[in-house]
Amino acid sequence: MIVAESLVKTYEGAKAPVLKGVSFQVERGEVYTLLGPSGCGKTTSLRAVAGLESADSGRILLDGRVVFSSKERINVPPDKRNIGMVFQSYAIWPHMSVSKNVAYPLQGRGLSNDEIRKRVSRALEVVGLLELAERPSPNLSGGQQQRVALARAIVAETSVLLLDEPLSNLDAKLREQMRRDLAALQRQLGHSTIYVTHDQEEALALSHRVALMRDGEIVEEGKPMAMYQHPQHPFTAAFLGAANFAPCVIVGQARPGDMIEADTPFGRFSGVARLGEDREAKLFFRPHMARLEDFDAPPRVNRGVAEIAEYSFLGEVLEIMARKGDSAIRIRTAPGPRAAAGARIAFGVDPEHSAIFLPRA
Amino acid sequence: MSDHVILEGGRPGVARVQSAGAAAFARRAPFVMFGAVLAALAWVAAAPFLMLVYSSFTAEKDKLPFETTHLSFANYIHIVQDAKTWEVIGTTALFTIGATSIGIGIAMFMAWLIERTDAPCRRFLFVATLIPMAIPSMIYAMAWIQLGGPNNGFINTSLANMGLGFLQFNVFSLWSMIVIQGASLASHAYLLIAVAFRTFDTSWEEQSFICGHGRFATLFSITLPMLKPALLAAALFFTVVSMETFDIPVTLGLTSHVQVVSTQIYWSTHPESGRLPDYGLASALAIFLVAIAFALIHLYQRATRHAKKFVTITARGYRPRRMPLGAWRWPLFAAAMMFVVAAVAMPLFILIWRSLLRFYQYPSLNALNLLNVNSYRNIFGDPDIPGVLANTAKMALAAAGATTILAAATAWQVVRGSIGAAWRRRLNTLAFFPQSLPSVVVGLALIFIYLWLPVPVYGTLWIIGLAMVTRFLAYSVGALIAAQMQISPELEEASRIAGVGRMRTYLQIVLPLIFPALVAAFLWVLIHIVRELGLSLMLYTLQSQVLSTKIWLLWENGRVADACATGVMTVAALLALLALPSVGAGLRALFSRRARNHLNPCETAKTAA
Repeated sequence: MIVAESLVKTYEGAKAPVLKGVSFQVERGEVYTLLGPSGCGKTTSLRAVAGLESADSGRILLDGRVVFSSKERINVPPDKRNIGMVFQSYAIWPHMSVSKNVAYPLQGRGLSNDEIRKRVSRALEVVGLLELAERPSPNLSGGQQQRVALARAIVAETSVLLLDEPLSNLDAKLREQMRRDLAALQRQLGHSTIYVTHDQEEALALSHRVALMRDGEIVEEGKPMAMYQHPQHPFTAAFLGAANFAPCVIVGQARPGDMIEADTPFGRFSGVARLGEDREAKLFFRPHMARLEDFDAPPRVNRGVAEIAEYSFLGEVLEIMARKGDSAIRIRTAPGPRAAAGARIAFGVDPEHSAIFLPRA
Repeated sequence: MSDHVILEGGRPGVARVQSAGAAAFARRAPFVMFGAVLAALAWVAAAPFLMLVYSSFTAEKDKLPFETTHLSFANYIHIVQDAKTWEVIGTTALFTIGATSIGIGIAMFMAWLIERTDAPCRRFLFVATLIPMAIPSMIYAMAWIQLGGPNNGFINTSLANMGLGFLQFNVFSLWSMIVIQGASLASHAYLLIAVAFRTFDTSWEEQSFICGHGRFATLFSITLPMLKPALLAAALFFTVVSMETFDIPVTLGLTSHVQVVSTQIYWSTHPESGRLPDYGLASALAIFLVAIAFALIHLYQRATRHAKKFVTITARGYRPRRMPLGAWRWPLFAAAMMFVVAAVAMPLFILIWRSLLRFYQYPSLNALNLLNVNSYRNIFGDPDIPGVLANTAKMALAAAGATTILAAATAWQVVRGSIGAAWRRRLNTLAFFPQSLPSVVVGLALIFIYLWLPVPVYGTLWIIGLAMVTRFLAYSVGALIAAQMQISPELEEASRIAGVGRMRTYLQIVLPLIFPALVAAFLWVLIHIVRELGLSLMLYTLQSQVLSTKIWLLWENGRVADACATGVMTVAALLALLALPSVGAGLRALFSRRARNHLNPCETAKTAA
């Protein structure tokens, strides 16, 4: 189990803190993802857990042991924290063979050579590299290096595994494959895992829980599907996937959590009210949650009209850019026959797939 | 506590910063290590300079600085009022500018020809250009005295024999001194400049051809202007080298009495018999020299910072496309050969020739049967020689080893240390500072320090070794910082995560990876220590003679053949060392990195982060 409490840190010379009180808890066997744009503090948080960087204040516990506490002046160095970690660059030592790289974390632990050999083979087998054990590590492909790094991280059988953008240096195909392998491996070994990435698809596919970070703070934390479908925060809505934000005017009084109605340039829609960040209210829905409807049907709530401005064909879906006045939204549908630009369309959005972000107080 | 390290943006994974409160309860060991490196650097880099500043205000004629306590500007007033000083400074300026221009000019021509054109025999020209690295400057000057002596110098006699007597020159004139210094600089300058030519992105030139410009128009309108920052940096660097150089001016000036600042400092402290040393004058002149060198080094650092932006080294865009010279191929090759013959082949030939004759004979078939190896016999029979060789080996190996170890520790602290950025930058600046301390100045300062301190170092080999560490530290730190920066911090962090402590991580991960750079830096320093005359001459005693001072004494005592024989053997040994494949590759690598990072504290601190 990994616990981080109120981590605060400011780099010297920086105006804003890189961590502004980050707290989270990772249960045994859980994959917990720190997701966010670059500079949001996700990697700094991970490195603080690893002991590679020290927070200015806060507390970190690994399996109940305090490894960092600014109050108690405890700061256990990384080599005494007993963790496994995969670096973004993999950090495979070029002067050692594959098996030497993997055996490295076992030295100084009082294991017999036999035992070390056995454990190295087991780790290499898990990542499917047993036959490359004696290969000099510079002669490895990116995917193979990634597997060696993983074997090295799990060989010491620590309960905590830290992954720093482990897939970002792989090409798209390999990334997908490794993502599946990583998920399977994690189920099998049951580490408490922190996974850092800026790729929301990776985060959604791999994690038990996701923490979305921005500017040194966790904006929202939750299960991937819930966060994607029912974001509580406009940043979550925007970061986790394609999103429409239509300006709107709220009908009547609204408190967060209420089901309310609002008028957009396209028509009147209903949705759950959430705290927003902008000066004006915004109706949110994902482009593929809107469906085209018969234009001649009678008007009703949750139905809008607009003019087609342009199309983009994205492969699996056709994206329609539609306008009404100054406002534009995107609608994704299955590719099919297209109406001419300028044609008028109608679309519907179910209230459970939309949200209305209130104006900032 | 101070904190932190720099770090601009960058990928988050690479940011290496630690922060404020953190240092407060971080482990103590890193501070101890940092403190040790800082103390060692302060000792070898800062102490000599501070001692000189002190002595320039206190020392009086023939009084050492600590023999009086009276502070005064007398020494400065003295050099400002003395017409002789201004004459020496004028000579030094002329010498410096002339020699640098000639050296850089030759180096540019050779680098362009070898790196960027289809000139014939490029491999041969490359090796021939680098050979002078193995010839100590003192020996180079001695060879030139044999070639250009006013009465019987080989070249002058030959010119007279050919009826070209009006072309004769006097090797002891200031002008000859300038040309000889320039020629000996050329091979060092070549290494620095060749990198810029080699890594120049040819697509810029190709674009110029597309626009309808010819080869030579492109050379002058595109290539040279683009390389200007790199060339300017090299020019500044070698201006400092020429200004503080000692070996060639002292060897030629022994006869001619043409003096530059560095030789003036030497002669003020080692006067002819019957006169008293003037330590005050020497100190004030030394401070003057250091101030100018420091300013130039500062400009150099700024220029290299700029050069880095300018000369882009893109792995992708770079294809070594060579410029076809067409009809110019052989004429330009002939021009390069003139340099090779005049600056490399003839000095080496005359050195060997002279070493085989007790009395000078004009080289001819008739003279062949007079050749003998007596001088070599003399040398091997000289009772001093075993001691001199042992001294040289002990001192050079120990000093090169110490320099390399200190430089490696400094490089790690500067690039990866866990101490705050501000302190790491200070460490870096301190390590590069001795670059502004000329040999004779270091020698002078060490005399003061170890005459004053109650440790038995003065007059022993130790003081020469310590001086060498000061002298060559900046070079090695530059090379090793570059090497250290190429090792991703994640390689070290991965080892820490694997449960291995700081020290063992260094030994098991960092050391094996920088080992080739360590070897190259060690050998580079070793070669330069053997070459160095100025320092040894300032500091040796009869008990602590080394090779360079032995050759100097043989020469000064008129045993020219014996001096030449020793010189020939020294050059042979250095050539053998340079020819080791690992050295060749190491030197190239060393210099290619140096060209980018060398001597640039701001740059390295930034990149470190």
